[in-house]
Amino acid sequence: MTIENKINKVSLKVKDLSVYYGAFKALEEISMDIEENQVTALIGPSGCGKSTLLRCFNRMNDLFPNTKIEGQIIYDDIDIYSQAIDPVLIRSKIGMVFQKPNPFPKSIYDNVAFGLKINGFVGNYDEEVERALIQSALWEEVKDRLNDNAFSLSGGQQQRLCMARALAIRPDVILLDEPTSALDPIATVKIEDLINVLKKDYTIIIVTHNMQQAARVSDKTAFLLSGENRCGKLIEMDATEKIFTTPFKKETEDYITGRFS
Amino acid sequence: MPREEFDKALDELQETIEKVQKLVEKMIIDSVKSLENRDMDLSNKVIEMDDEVDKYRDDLEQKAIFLIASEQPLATDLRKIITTLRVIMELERMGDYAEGIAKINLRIGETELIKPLIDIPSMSKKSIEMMRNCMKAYKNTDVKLAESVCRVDDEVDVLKDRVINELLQIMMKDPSSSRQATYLIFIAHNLERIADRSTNIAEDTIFLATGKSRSID
Repeated sequence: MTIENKINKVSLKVKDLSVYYGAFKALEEISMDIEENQVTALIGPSGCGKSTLLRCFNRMNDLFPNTKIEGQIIYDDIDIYSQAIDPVLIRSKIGMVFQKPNPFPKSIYDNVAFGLKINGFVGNYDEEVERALIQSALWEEVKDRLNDNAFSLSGGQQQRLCMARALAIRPDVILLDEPTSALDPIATVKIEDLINVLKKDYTIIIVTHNMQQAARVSDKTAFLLSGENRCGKLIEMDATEKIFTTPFKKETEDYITGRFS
Repeated sequence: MPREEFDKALDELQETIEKVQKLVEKMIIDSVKSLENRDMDLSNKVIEMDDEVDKYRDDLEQKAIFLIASEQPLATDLRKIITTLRVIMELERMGDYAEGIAKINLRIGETELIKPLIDIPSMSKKSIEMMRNCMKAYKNTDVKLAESVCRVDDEVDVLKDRVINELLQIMMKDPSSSRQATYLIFIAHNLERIADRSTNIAEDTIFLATGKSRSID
């Protein structure tokens, strides 16, 4: 068996990244390359810092008080943590979808148009909303009810609406934080299919607790683990096929086979 | 340690493999013994044992398939199950070859053999030795032992060629011996195939240990 491990263009370069919540060190010296138009899965037990790491990519951790970041994340030759960078601009390029669908209490249309509005978009809103809903594979289901409240949609549809909301502002990177953990198997398959389509145009980073999901949807997998000081470290990152068939590190093998004591 | 039930199920697969190994080993020994002793009853018993092997195989396959579906195994766990399926298939085929030898013995019937058997019992012994070693290697995931099994395979091949040559000589000298000589060639062929199957199990062991599928030369 040969595992293809070709190097693609790097979209996000993480260099010696450490994250502190007050005195607590949540992540220690993470270095990794996130490749363009690839799906990178972050896996690891609860509390290993994978969601913290995910939030670093679009500076969502800035929203938590007493958060301190050391190291760099280079995007487009710029350190996104350098002083001159506006985090809102970063978030328009690096979008995020959360674990639980969280549409706004607005119409389906307004949910998708929201990001465009706050970013001062002056083009054709109808076209952009339709494009984002088509991209998120929701258009056919909602095209006749765009003015209905977003809460009238099923959980799976709401999650795809959140994807559309993120896609509307044309980001480069999409961060997915356990996007299917609240969905049934059918809605899960739809999101996974969507990820497969979207990676042609976007770089995707996904946090998931479902090993088989990581194995199905991602090209690269990073395994994080926290040690005795509860501080998360990157144990191993490799081609997904390698991680789930013959991982290099024993900790990775123990985790993915469910033999963690 | 979590996943105790799963580990127990994996152990059970292993136990089935060991049972089948013992059965097949007995089938090979008895099939050659029945030939040497002109013992038709023993040949019939070997043929009956094959049904038992098939039943174990079917049972193990079902359990393994359900384990894959229910436990969604990964990495070493997945290789363990896949290897179990491969090894049971090899053992079952070895059983078929032994059954074949028993059936040939019934066809030869209760007549005297055209020659004393020397190389065929040696082939049988070497095949059994290979089988024991490859199964030991498999059980202990011992790559070194697995690799050494294959050297014996060359010796079995040499013996088979010798048996065939000798029988060809006999046939040329006495054409009336052709029927039985041909049967004995089949038997040598079956024993040689049994040894080949041990080589396959040795390769499965290397896959289990390393994740690499590779043919041993």
